[in-house]
Amino acid sequence: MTTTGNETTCVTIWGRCVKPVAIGPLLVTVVLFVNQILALLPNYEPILLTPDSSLGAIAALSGLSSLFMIWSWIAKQQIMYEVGLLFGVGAWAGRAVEVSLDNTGFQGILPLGFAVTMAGLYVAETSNRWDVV
Amino acid sequence: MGCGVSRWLADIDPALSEIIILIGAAVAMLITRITSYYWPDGRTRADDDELREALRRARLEYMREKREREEGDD
Repeated sequence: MTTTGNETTCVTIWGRCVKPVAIGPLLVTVVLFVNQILALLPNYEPILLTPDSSLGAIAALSGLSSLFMIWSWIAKQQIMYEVGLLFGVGAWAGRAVEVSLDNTGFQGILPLGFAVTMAGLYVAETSNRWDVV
Repeated sequence: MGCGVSRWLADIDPALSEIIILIGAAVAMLITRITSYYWPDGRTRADDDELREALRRARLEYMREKREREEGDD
């Protein structure tokens, strides 16, 4: 079972398969991207705890991740979801490093957990293929 | 309350903490990619051979049925 594949068990909206396990990474990564953009804008406050050590790199990674994941759902391209997950791993691992550097290491465990979850999803997406033909 | 390592790094060079974070992100992505490449998917070479053989037989059977249908039409 993949998180985005069109198996018969998934709910279909607008002719596209919808699975909660595929929406979760998209949701948290879009929130991270919005937070980084708000932190970069001069007159806005970030919505999450955000050290000002690295804003651009994490914004770029989370933005690319969100873009690829949305693209994969609209265009029904599995490979785009996999690329999006890989960028998401980078974005959340970067945030884990950022928060750990600025706070205690324990504060970084939550973003690290997201990074590990998305890495696990990436492995699940890429390893379950019977492409022997 | 925090250890403030990033502030200390920023005092040395403002780009230093940004570079460390980027390195962390790149390492995480690389480990993920390599892990997925070597991750066992519960499939052996014997499974692959069995599937290939089943596909070969199915293809031959399909071609035989198709030929019989065409000969029947004639």
